[in-house]
Amino acid sequence: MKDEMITLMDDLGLNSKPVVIELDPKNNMSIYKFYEENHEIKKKYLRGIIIIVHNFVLTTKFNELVHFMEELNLFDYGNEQNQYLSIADYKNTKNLKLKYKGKTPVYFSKSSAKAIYKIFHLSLLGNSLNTILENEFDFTPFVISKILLTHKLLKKKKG
Amino acid sequence: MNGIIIMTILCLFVLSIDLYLKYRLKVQALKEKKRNRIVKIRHYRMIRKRKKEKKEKERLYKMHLSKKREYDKFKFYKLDTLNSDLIYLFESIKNKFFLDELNYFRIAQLLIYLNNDEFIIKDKNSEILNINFTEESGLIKTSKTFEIFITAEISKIVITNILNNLNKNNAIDSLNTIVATFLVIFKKSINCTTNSIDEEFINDFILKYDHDNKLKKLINDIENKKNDLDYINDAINESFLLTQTCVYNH
Repeated sequence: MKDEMITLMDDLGLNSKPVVIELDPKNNMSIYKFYEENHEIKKKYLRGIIIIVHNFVLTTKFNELVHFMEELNLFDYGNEQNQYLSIADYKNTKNLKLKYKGKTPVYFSKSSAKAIYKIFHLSLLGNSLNTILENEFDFTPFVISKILLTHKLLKKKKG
Repeated sequence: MNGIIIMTILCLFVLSIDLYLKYRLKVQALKEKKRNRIVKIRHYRMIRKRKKEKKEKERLYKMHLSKKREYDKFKFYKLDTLNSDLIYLFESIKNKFFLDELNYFRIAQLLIYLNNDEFIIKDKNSEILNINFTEESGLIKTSKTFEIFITAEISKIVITNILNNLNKNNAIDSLNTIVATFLVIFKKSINCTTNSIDEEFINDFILKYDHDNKLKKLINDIENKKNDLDYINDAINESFLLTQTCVYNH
């Protein structure tokens, strides 16, 4: 835990603020990219990505995120072994329903699934993926919540 | 013949004087005996009275000692273990008011309780964050996270704030107000481990309190935001703005 807290700090001793990329505003879905910064050589390394839907952290590891994105990409070709998404019919059209313990039901249409998949890949452009694949942060709930709550990055409830 | 008569009269005179003297001595002895008896009785009575007083003193002392032992337990053993915030709070109460043993015990009991179990107050403005995380065994678990205030910190700020508004000359009422404020803060808090309000302790504390009816009334008044106790609610609200929140996972 201590190690994680140290590596999450930048040269100024501040917790590095994650970069937020919005994937689906309708469903309050965003990815948070965590970088390790080295101010001396002016470089930053991608060390972790998490995905948040309605203030619910869906995945904390990069491999989980890729699995989720591929389930989204497959859309109705996916089957019951999907870990994150199930196929749901709505007005005779096929949609994806997110399998999670959150209170708000989350549905993805074919177009939004495609858009999310595309934005995710665009967000990785220009990033070296070696660090995240080989030396990924081992996020614990405490670390994630501390960063998100101290930087006030959570979405306010509507109404 | 005359000689015999004179001799007889003389003898009778001497005899009567002797008899009188003996009578006087006997009367005096009787008086002395009576006085001695009275003195003896008084002496016995005094001894009995002293014995009775001694017994009563011993009884009171034992009673006092048994109570004192309970206070001492808090006085000497546990107050050292309080965290610095609570010690500061206790010192400021002690400096403001003279605490007799019973009040000392009550305040110490509250502070020790506050210190032993970690009490927290949920931040109403905090967003709740749910996190899916994979355990080493591969199982996916969900953790709930929100921001909290530490009750001990809140209590310190509130009590030091309201101490200025309390009347030093009316120590009993002022101490009742302090205890009531503590209990109001307790009612807002939850226990870290059990995740619930410890109502049993609060009810038990009120029952054993000397001015329990006054205390209940004060708690109701504070909770119902009565005008004359507005300063307590203001202090509680202000303390939430002054205290930093912590992250709580469960």
